[in-house]
Amino acid sequence: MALSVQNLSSGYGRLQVLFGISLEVPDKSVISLLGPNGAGKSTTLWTVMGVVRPWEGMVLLGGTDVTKVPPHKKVELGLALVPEGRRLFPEMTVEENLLMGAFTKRARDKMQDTLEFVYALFPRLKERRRQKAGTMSGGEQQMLAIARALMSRPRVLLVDEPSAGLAPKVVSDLFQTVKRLKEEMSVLLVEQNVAAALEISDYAYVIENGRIILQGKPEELAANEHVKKAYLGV
Amino acid sequence: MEVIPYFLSGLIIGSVYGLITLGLSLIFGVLRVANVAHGSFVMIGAYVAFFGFTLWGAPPPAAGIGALALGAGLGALVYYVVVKPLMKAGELNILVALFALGLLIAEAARMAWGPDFRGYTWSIGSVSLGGLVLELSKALGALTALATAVGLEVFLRRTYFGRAVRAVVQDPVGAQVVGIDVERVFLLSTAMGVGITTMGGVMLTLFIPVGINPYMGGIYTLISFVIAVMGGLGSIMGAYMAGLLFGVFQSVGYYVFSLMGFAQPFEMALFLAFVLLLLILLFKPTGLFRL
Repeated sequence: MALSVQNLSSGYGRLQVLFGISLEVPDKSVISLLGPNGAGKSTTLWTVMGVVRPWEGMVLLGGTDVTKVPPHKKVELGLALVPEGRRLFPEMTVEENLLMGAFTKRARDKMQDTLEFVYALFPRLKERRRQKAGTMSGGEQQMLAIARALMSRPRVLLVDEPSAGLAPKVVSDLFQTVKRLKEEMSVLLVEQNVAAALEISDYAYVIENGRIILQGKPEELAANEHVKKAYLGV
Repeated sequence: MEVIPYFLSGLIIGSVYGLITLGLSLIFGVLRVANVAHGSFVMIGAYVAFFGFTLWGAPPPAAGIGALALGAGLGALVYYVVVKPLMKAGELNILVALFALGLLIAEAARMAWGPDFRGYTWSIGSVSLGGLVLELSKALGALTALATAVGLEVFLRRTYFGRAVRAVVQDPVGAQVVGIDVERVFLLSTAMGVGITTMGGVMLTLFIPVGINPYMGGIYTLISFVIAVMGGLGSIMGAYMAGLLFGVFQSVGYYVFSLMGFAQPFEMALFLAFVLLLLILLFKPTGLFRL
């Protein structure tokens, strides 16, 4: 198992957000975590990454317990997060952002190869490589955020709401790219756009009020009455 | 053109104003904390210069290196004792704690060294430049300041750790997710910032004829804040350039007001510099430069 989350609880201050989340991300797969606003999707990713401190439970990366490992060391161990709001370095160029993505020692050594890989994946970024990140369109910034995370050579990529604020055509292109990534790694995708996410997933979880309430293969979830009514609008 | 010497001497003192502001701007950019104890570290640097010279005969450039190391140590201590424990309590708490620390340092200095003004003279000759009799010691102070500003800028742009600092300035969360140890950047930036400030205090003693005392820091906290905001908080070259501008305004302002023969030219010159700040903030609220 590339990533295994077991009975994870966390929150902010005294406010508990996650109540015993468990999920599994097998090698070379795309797994989705779906749910409404405020359900705890982003908090799950932040807690897995270690930016938000876990209260209970375990995070295993490739079978190793990394629950208490600080975020920068998790990146070294092969976990990468494309955060909500992209969190690019706006005053740096596209290429500088990518080079920052290869900050860890493991990634630094392979920087040139990885750079070619992400430019092949997102040719648009290569065209824009001298442009400042803050001046690009939303779709391009999202590409850059994913590309920057790839620069760290992750085994598991966590992606938070890549579709937020993007046009449908841009979203479908982006999701096709995410799907291609599973040849190289595992992806845990957090999304509100349930239909688009189910299309590229191998397995999916539905989170509401900080608890996993449903899980299954995409076709099973798409046939589920609750999912249909609450998320697919049919 | 009688104004030229005033312009030049403004550039010279402005260079040191810039130096004093670098550390404040760096710490603000990285930690989003305004170091209100800033002036007290300038004062410590000034005493390093004074004691270095009077006790050991160390020339100010040597004292500058000593102050840089001492200040860096103090900065690390401030980070561990004041900033880090209060990080979760919020910026306002850190601000108040730093304010208290500034007072504490000034009072400790008064108890140790007394409240009187003290001074020393380090003379290495002078040259005549565009109508200005320029003391070489001042020129050296200004050049040290320029070299420090350029060196820091190159460090931030070219080195691995420097890029990590810029990343934290631009987006701390983004920095964390690319694998930067943000806490380490906080620590080293505070150490570097306070170190440079203390060194700035050494260079400042070459310019203040009335000498130094434990309470001299206050005005430099104020001036540095004005310059840092003018330059764009967090911008290193911005802080330096704004320092030059501030120095020129102060010096040329002094000349203009002394011609007009009313009010106190020195106070009016400071007034003019603050008017400049207001104008810049009105028309370019993010400051003149950006990192």
